[in-house]
Amino acid sequence: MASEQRNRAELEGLELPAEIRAMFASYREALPDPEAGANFMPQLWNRIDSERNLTFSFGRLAKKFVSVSVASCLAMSILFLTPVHQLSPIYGATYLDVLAADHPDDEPDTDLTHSIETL
Amino acid sequence: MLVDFELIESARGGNDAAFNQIVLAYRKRILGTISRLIGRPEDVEDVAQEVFLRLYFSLDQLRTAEVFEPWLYRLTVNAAYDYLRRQKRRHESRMSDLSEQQVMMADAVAGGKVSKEELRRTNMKEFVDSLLDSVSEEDRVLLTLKEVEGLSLKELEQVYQVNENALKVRLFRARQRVIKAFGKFTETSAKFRGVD
Repeated sequence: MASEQRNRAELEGLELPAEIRAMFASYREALPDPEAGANFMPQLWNRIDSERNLTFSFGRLAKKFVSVSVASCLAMSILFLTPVHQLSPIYGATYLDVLAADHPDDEPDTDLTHSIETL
Repeated sequence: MLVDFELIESARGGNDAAFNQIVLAYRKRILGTISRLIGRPEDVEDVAQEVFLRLYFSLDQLRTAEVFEPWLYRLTVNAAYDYLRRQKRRHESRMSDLSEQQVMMADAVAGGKVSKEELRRTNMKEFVDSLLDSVSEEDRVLLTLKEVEGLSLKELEQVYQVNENALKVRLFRARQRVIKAFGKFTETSAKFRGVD
């Protein structure tokens, strides 16, 4: 408790030396509030306008991006959810069926089959 | 308050004419505070415009019109911090980088167009600027607001949004550091003058 009180007194007690305080006071006097230049307000409004335009353009760009994303999602959903009615015969067939369809003139090698059976 | 609450409410509602009136009412005070915070006359208007630009785009975040002034001071302090940090990055030491005013003063002194009083004032200003440059941006801003601008602890609490004790600790440390820097400065200048 006593140390807390001492700390508090110490914190409140540290004042700047009179020399520095006097210098700060002179500094305040040496730098009075300046008048704004003639271009202050026009320049400020130009900056506000350009910032507003930037925010507006960014907002528009963001909206466009969102619209395009939503449209793409819808298109993809439709594409994937639509049932496929006409499957190509190739995708419905087995590998052997496809081979047979590609080479209709080929006949099975009966001699080879026979020789294997006799073995 | 330099403007009434209705004007602030009107500006918050998006009335540009009301905002314009607020800027006209506060710009001189803000320009003065910034000039003492950053110590560079040629950049004061630019930083002040940055403050009002931030004010324009953050007015809707202001809770009530009653806290407008601390809010504006807070924006001023933040803009000054940003400027000082940028400056520090650009030139690690400002001692070698003469401001326009310093160059003009040097010319005037050379031409014999400046009085002794003006010269003394300029030297004092340069000394305080150097002294404040030797502490951190945080200390510089806090000391300027308290010791130069004369803000009370209550006002500083609102600007910094911290409690009284925390503020006193910061102030205590900032004062300690500036006293130390002042000691070093006077020691160095005594050495230059050849005084023991």
